[in-house]
Amino acid sequence: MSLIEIKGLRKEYADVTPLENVDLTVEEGEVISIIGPSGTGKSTLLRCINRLETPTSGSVLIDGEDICSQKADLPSVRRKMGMVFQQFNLFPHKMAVENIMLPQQSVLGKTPQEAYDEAMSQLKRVGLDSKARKYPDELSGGQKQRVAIARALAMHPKIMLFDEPTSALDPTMVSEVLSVIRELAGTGLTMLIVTHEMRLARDVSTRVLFMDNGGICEEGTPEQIFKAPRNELTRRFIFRIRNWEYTVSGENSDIYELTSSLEDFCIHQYLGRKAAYNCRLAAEELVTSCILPKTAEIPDGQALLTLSVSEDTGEILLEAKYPSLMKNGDPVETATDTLSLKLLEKAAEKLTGSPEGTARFRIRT
Amino acid sequence: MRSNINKRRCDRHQQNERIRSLSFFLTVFLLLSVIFPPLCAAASEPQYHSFDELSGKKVGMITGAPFEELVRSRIPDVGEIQYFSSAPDMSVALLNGRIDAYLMNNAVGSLIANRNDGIELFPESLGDTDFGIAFAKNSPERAKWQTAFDSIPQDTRLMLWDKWTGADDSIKTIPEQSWQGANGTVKAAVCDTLEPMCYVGADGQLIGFDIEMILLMAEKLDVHVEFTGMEFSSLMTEVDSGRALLGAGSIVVTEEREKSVDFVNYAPASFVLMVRSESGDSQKTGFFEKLSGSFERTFITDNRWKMLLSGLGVTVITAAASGALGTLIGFCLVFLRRRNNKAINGLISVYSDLMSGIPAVVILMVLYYVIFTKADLPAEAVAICGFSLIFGARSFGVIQNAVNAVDSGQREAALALGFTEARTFREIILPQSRSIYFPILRTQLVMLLKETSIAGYITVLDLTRAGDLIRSRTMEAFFPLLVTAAVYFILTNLITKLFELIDIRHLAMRSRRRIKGVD
Repeated sequence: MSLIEIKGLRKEYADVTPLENVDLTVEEGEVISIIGPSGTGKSTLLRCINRLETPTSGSVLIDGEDICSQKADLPSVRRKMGMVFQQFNLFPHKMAVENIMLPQQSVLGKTPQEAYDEAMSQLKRVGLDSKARKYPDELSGGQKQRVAIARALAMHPKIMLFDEPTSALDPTMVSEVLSVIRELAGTGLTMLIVTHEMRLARDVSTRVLFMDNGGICEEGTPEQIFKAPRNELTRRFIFRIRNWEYTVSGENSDIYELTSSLEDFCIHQYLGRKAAYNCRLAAEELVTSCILPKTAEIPDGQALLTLSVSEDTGEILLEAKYPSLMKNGDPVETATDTLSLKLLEKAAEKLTGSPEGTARFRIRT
Repeated sequence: MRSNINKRRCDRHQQNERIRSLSFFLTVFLLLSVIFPPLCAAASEPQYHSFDELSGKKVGMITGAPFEELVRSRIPDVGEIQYFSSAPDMSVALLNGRIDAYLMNNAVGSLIANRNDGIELFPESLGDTDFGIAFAKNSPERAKWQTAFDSIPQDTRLMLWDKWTGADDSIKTIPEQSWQGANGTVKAAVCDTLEPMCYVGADGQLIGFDIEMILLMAEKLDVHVEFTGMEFSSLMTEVDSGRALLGAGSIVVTEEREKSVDFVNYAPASFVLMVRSESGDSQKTGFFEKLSGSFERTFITDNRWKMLLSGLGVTVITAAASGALGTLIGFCLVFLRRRNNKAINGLISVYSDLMSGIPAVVILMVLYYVIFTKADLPAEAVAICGFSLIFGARSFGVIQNAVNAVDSGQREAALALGFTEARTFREIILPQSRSIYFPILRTQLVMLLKETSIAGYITVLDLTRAGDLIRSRTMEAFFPLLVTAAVYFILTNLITKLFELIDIRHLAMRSRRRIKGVD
């Protein structure tokens, strides 16, 4: 029996549906990172697992118990899971150590002394035993989050749920929290981490889930997901790629509309002046000298232009796909306007090894 | 850094203190300037002599006195008619020039004219009638009392009249109810601000012509009488609702009144107008002599300070009890509300809508005259009950809002740790909402204390009404109002201080950083 079994999970609100038909099985000891763009249901998935959100349909089995049923004893199921929130949610009227003691006393019925000893050992574990008698408003963000982690650990959960644990932190404090999570990942505790920290996901997880459009698009080992993503959405997300697309057809090819939309894209991506100029030049020459002559010959034919920018490498690629224009030979190979081709060559370097009906260029920057 | 902040906080505190004491003196100054004129007025001739002179003038009368037509029949183009709750208020208004004349009966009128240098009887009378004791319409008791009255000899009646309207205050005492009282006890509602007919004498005892007359009748009927003093305007309601068997307090019999109650006529009456004396030949008395005389009349004569003191006690007890009960009601409702029962929630919102939508004074009167008419509850208990209900609705709103204002993440964190909803609320949400509702409850409590001053409407003898009663005897507004104002002011400041102390203690507990059960 798996520790967590989610089947056909769906959550809808009046205006949005953040989760559509999600299936997920988690085995004991797994460390799972959930990545993906904002607003794609990652947090909702996590909150459905401990029923802070009630799913619209589907089932969530924790340790074999269906938490979506009416009879589910939520407090006892939740006791098996610790949750760490983006906003820490420490109890502001209690000192750090009391924050950790209170749930042990109230929920587990421990005596104050037992709870205190446990709390101090957990605080030591996250390196904050010296701050035990500080109130939350006297702690930094990173310290608050570490206390929150200690509070969850003191309940000895089987599963830890991290909901963007570093998103509300100052960049200088992210690492102290990450190192605590890293340390935890090595102890064999089952963990689900929703995060935007790609390095954390890559380093500590046994499995990475990529979520987009309300579902799990791709899952695999960190190696697979970060080195060789198969899904296009995953790839764009991992390499932080932004795309511009335009379709050129014989009927209504408006070169002015094309250039103005391309210019807008370049401005939004903060491309340099030279790069932006070369993008425009390459696209213009490619369309006027290679594609438009062909669309005149083949009325139904069209070409799809894609400009993609990778934030990581800064590489700008211009791609033209024109399988429907291949009747009288490749448009780029058979182009005759030499001046135009010279200008194109000046703006971009043609890449070899493209599939049939496709031409790829790397814009010179 | 921290000590710097503390210092600044301290400075601000001192500044607040300074502003507060400044505002106190400002209040005193304003009171002085408003109430002072009556102290200085003095003369002997009436300012007006004929009805013609009164045309276009402002005339005052007591609320509940249906004499507008009577006045208009003599002064056809009278300027404006204003209503007041007691004779002393009208005297003050007359001396201040806010009205030019007021209507009174001959008995009260003569005494006011004799006592007060600035006020004279208008030479012309408005008409003759009788004084009457009011009974509920068609009350079978009235006939018995009429018989009892008829058996009192004419000489005795005249002797009583002379005794109470005379100048010798030393003989103005009423007999003990020493008869057996085999036929039980009856309740009498009397207006207590109408000297000489019915007023508060030494040590707060109700005395006067009316009182002694009723006692004479009661002796014949062998019943005991329990008198309750109140505003004139409440008399008819008391009799009508059956809370009191009879009502008295120099009630003048008129056709209009006879439509709603039956009377036992016990003395001839006439309507008179009170006007200011012609100023100019006023005898000058020293300012400080006047002030000390006024002080003595307000506090020393007849042990009036005792009345103020007991009024203060009533005010404090009413405010404290209803503050405590109301807060309790508020917390109970907040907990009830959490059950999410539709019927209960509906009832709660009806309750708080009613309490916030009706003026407090109306709620009190509805409780006293409609709901608790038959229950033999003292007026003080009804007042506490009413104010508790009113404060309960307010504190419920305040606490509910405070609870809602606690960040929803707190609830989620507690639930995620395995807390039940109930424990989450008790141990996490409610303690955190304290800092939000606590200061608001404090200001609400201050408001409640001031609001209890309306308890006089249902015959409770609180601080405000004690002041009113003293004013009705001395015909002077200065000291009674000043003292009442000052006492309220001090009380509200005490409440604020008390809450501040609690807050400081709370902060001290926090900064001690002690862990319960470990240290």
